[in-house]
Parts: sequence; C-alpha cells; structure tokens
Amino acid sequence: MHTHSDMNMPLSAAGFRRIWLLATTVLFTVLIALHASTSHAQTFDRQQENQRYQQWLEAFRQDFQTLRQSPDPATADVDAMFANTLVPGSRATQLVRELAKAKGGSTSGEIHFVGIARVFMAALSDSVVAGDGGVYPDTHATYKSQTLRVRYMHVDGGGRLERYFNNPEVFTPYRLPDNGVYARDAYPFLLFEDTQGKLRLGGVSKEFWDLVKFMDSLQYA
Amino acid sequence: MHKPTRVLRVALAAAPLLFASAAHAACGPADTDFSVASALPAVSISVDLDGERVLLGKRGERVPTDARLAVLDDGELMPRMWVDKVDWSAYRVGNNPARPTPTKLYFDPDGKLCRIERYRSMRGEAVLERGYTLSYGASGALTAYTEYSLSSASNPKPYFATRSACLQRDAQGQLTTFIDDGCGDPKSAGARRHFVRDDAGRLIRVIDLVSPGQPVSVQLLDAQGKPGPRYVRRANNYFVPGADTTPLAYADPPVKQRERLYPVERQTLAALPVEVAENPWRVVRIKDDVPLDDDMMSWDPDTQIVLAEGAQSTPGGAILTPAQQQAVWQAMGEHPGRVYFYADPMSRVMLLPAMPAEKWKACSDPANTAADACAG
Repeated sequence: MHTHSDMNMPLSAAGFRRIWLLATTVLFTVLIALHASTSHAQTFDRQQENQRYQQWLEAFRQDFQTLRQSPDPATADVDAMFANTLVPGSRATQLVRELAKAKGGSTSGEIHFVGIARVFMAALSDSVVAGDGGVYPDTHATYKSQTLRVRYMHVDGGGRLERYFNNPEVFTPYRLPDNGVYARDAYPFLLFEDTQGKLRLGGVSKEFWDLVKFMDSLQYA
Repeated sequence: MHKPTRVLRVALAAAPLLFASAAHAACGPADTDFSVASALPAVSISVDLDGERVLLGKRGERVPTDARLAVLDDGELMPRMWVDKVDWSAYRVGNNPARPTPTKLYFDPDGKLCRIERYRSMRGEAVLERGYTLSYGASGALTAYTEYSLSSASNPKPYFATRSACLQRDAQGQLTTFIDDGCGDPKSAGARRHFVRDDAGRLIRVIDLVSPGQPVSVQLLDAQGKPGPRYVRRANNYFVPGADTTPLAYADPPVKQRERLYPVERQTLAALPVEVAENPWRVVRIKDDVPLDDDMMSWDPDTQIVLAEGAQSTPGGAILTPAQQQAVWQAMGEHPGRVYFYADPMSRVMLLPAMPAEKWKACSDPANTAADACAG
C-alpha cells in the first residue's frame, strides 16, 4: 500500500506505470467479481423468485377462498375460477377439485382438526422457493403439451417436520439438486408454468404431497 | 503524458473507495447502545424469529434457528452458528410501511450481518422489542454478539443486554474460548469452554469451566479430531457416612452409566465406607467379554472375578489388606469401568481411580498445549 509520503514524492514514469497497472488490476478484479455475482444471480434469484411466489400464493389463496364460498364447491368450474393461478386441465386443477370435495375441519371432543385443504394452504404459506429443477419431463399423454418447470420448495415447519425430511425411505437423502437439475426423492417440489412473467401452478410432487399428509397426521399424533 | 495522468488521477481517487469496503468490514462492537439506530440500510425480512423455525440454507439445507446465535448442542464440541448459513434473500420483502415486517437485518458492505431487530406490533405500531448486535474479527469470523431487550418504561435505558456471548479467536481465526453469556462482565463470570490447540493448530483438548478457574470436564481429541477419553471433576454420588464428598477428577467411563460412580484415591481403598456395617462385602472385576453396557449380565456372579471380600464390614467400612488394595487398584487402572464394590450383596458402586490433583491441574489448564497433558 502507498502511504502519504509516497504520494508527495515526484513520481517517475516507471512509477506511474506501476500504479496504473495496479489500478487497472484492481478495476479488473472488481469487474470480474461483479460479473461473477450477476451471473450467479441469473442462475437462480431466490429473492426475485420468492417475491413472485408470494404474489402467486396471494392470488391462489383468494381464488381458493372464492371456491370455498361458492354455492357448490364440488361442482364449481375450477379451470375458470383459477384461470390466473392454475394451469387449466393440469394435475393441479385435479388436485384442487379433490380438495374442494374433501371434508373441512372436524371436531372430536374439544379438539378441532383442520381439513386437508387448510393443511395444504398452510404448507404453501410455510414454503419458500429454494431452486429450479428445469422443465418437468412429463410422460403422461394428457399433460405432455404443458411446459412446466420444477420448483424445489423449502418448507419450514418449525422443527416438527424434520422426521419427514430425515426419513431415508422418503429422501435419499434430503438435498437440493443443482440448478436446472431434476431429481426425485431429493427435495419437495411444485410444478409451475412460467409464461410472460406469470406463474401458474401445474402440479404438486409426491414429495410435497406426502409432506402435506405428514403435516395432517401430526394433528392426530 | 497529459491524458493518461488525468485518467490515473481518477483511478487513484477511486482506489481508496475500492479498498474501503474491505476496511469497513467490521460491524462495530457488539456491546453498544441498542437504541441508536444503525447507519446501515435495513433489509426487511418476512420471518418472525420468535419461536422455532427451520430456514432455507444457502445450499438448500435446513437451518434450525435458535434464540442464541451460537448454540452448544448436546454432545457437540463446537458452538453451532446459524445466522450466516441462512439464505436471507429468500425471505426478503419490500419495505412497505403499510405492512411492517417482524424482522429487520443490517448487513455491512461485505455482506456480514451486523444487527438484527425484532419488532412487535402494538396498537398498529411496530415496536422494536428485542435484537442482536454482532461483531467480527479480522479473519471475518463471528467474535461476539449481544442480545438486547426492551426495558420497562420506568428504566432510563430503553434497552438492556439480556445475553452477551463471545467467541475469542486466535490470529488464524480459530476459536479459543466460547463464553455463552456474561462475556466481559467481571461480576457474572460465567461458564465457558476453552479450545486447546497444538502448535500446528490442531484441536487437542476441549475444557469446560463453570467459572474461571473452575474446570469441570476435559475432552481429549485424537489425531483425527475424534473425541477420545473424557475427564470430569465432580462430587461422587456414593452417599454414605464416611465417604469423602470433595469433588475428584477421574476418567469418565466410556459407556454412559446407570451405576453410582465412586472415584477414589489409592489410600481410600484401605477402608471403603459402607452405609450399614456387618454385611458381607466384596470387590469384583467384571470379565472382559461382558459388554460394558450390559448391567444385567454384570450382576451375575459367574461374570465376576472376586478381587477382595469379607464376611462382615466394620463401622469403619470394608477393610482391605494391603495385597487386596493393590489388586483392586491395579484392576481399576487396567479394566476401567469394570471394578465394583459391593457394600452388601444387593448394592454396588463402580470404583474409579481418581486423577491426582496436580495431574488434573495440568490437564485442565487451557494454557497447557502439551499433547500428553492428561496422560498419567
């Protein structure tokens, strides 16, 4: 490092060149560091993706509320009602239809149990997007035409779900796959359609749904 | 040369700014006036850190939170730090004054977390209820944190420190002392853990103290860093008249014992105290092929080798001959955790050789970096 006394001394041309080299080296290092951080951000921006997920969740919650308050939720037109939040004709609309038919809360003695739909909503609310698993390779003829992306979800659970995540029969083991890599039995995921900057849910993985069932069973444990 | 000189001046003027971020890495002291707002930009976070949470880690892993920022989990040697493992960006929300968030974080230009604020909503107003300040050493590792809570209205100081922890480090940034609370406070000189390293920086001993100068346990580590023998100093739990209750240091039996432990010095073997005199007594060694944790089997006389026995103990205890004392003492050293004293046929205690006081002093001295500090 150059001290003040160095600066007060007349500089030779060679000295200039040295400092010039040092300055450019510093600038280059900073530029490389900046580039590295932006290209990393482009790979998967958790901040931005979670803000998008939160927006989707808010809209989905409202659509679900509309469904529950409709005169006959079991026969409601889910595709139309969830046009903004679900991929029409997808596995997700199937699931929501099932949830609409499922019984709500129940009371046994003085203990109130919430229905599976409420547990599913709680799981979504307790989630953050952890990573992207690329395009979901759907082999089912009905869903082949839909391009859905795998979104790995971290579900908090306040410590009550660790038994599920540590279960070697469910996760082999629990780990977040690399960016863009699709893997089973690794991390719970949701499928989203991502067109024109808008998210619509297209499916819920077995890993995520089994987690919802696990959360549901904790009520009775 | 005129043009480059001008560019050079700009570059030189910019250079201190480029270096400044590294120079300002330190967050400032953890011990501070918490009511003074941070000069760093606030980052609003949607997570409420009150209560147990398991947050998203930077590599997707699950990170359990804790009210303590450095946690000594049961059976762990090193405190677990969690705030730097969390990917806070996943929990970031826009600064919307209409929807206040429960948590605000303050990072320095290097991305080090300097301050945590926890807000409670009171009559529509966000009240700063508690929080933490963190500070870091030259190596960038956490060296201290203080937890603050809102004082009662009558208190002139709006916030008081509810915990002050420190993680003292050597020049390489390696942990040397962990103090969970009461750091820097001479009045409440609290429990601490010392990490003793050899000259190569390898961790060789971990010493727990209840207060300065009061060591209670020493854990040895082998060359691979795996826990080896553990020495403890505590009062025996053989409560009979005549049994000395002065705490003695001894090698903790390798298997967690349900038995009562009776650490003894060599001379105590001359007369082992008993609760009720005139019962038949014996000292036995359990055969080596009996698992140490199988106390059903070890009660079977067939698994025992009698080292000393008597038809009746005296009010002064069970009296051993010098030859018996020698045999028992030798067995205690050679077969740790396998020598029992039966004061009567139905009750027994495990006999453990006490560590000589001067040996314990050397073993539990954090300044002693000798590899064989506890060997005897």
